[in-house]
Amino acid sequence: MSNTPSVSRSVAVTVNGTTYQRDVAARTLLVHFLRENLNLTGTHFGCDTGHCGSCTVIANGKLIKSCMMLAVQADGAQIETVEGLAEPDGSLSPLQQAFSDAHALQCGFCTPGLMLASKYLLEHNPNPTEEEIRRGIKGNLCRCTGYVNIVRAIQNIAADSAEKGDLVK
Amino acid sequence: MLLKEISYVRPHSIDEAVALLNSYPEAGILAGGQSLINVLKMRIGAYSTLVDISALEELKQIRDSAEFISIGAATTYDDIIHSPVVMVSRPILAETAFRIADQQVRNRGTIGGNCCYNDPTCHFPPLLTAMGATMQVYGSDGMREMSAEEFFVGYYQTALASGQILAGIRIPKPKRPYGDAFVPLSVGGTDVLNAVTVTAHVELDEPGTLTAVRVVATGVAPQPLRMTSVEDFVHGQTGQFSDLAGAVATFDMSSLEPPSDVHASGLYRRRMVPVLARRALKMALEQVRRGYRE
Repeated sequence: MSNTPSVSRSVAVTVNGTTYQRDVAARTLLVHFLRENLNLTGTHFGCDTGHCGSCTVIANGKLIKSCMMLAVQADGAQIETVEGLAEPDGSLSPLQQAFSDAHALQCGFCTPGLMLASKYLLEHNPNPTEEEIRRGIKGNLCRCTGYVNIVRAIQNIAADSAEKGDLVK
Repeated sequence: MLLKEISYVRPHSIDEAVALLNSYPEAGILAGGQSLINVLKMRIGAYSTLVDISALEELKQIRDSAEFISIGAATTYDDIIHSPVVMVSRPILAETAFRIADQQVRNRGTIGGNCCYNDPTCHFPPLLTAMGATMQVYGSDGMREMSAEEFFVGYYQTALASGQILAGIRIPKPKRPYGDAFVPLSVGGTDVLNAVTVTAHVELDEPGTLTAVRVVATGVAPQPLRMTSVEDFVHGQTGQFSDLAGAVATFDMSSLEPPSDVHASGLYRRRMVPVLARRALKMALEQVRRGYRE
């Protein structure tokens, strides 16, 4: 058999356009790989049970929780994290600006995951109803805001994008 | 939480996956991981090796034929929700997948994982039992088929033997008017956790009588439970049948010994079975009378 189980593997993971080649233990969760191996600490580690969504990233175009996936499973994957949202010159993306403008965060712990969930939602449904927004961010818990301003931020960016006719970043 | 040290392998084919499972008897199958990773974190279960089948394209196909829809075991809930084949032929599969957890989980979790985990709160074991689905089990001696009823044998237990993989699920496409219903009692009201679920299926034959009736309760017995006395009562009635209370009253609820836990007491679960059974039958009968599903 050419393929044998091993306790660690060499993986190549592309995060926000940069490919990282690393040796990683098979038991490492993707969230720990991002934070500890790559030092990309914008992806937060919350409940560790797959409930809170703070560790949400986009992997191969799919919104996922990075505490529910092994780093070795991400070999060859394209990952988008919160660090990839801002414009190349460091200014806030329209989505980040909308969160700031609507005061859609207080402590900010859930914000990276919520912004990626919002990005994914708007890419698939550029003009969501309030119900669709609430359903779209159901996997992300926020203990500060009560979600009202988060929903408002997403509604604002959707309305802005519809006006300008451009895609949400 | 850090997982225990574990070995990992990503096979390139289902044959290689089966060979690996037979070479490493302590190995487990990893697909979407939306239950398994938590099980490993919490030390509820342990494997020395994980065989990752999540990248096997041959297990992610949804195929249409005259008689059946075939869904690969590693097909995600999100792919089922967006499948035109499912939407045209058996939309209850998409409607049910749409209820599961949240977008992140639906993007990773698989129908095969839902079946193999076979938690009494899982969505697909009762639904597939009511639909008369066939489970395709692949092992070193090739493909074997068994009914959903044979497959789901007890709490967290399936008929899958060591060294075998659930490769796919075949769901019949009824040739006559039919109805499908999935009615859960969801704790918190948001489909997060289904304490009790009743699913129902009915078909209407040419003379206008009800046939192929299946009513299945889960969360109240070790395996998805066919309520056969209810099925027998409804079978052969006209399409206008409406005595739901009479049909459900044939079932001896006192025979059920559901578990009590933090989500619902055993007594509450038992008392909800007739309520949910009436609702599920009503929904399935309304569809069958229209002659099509909306």
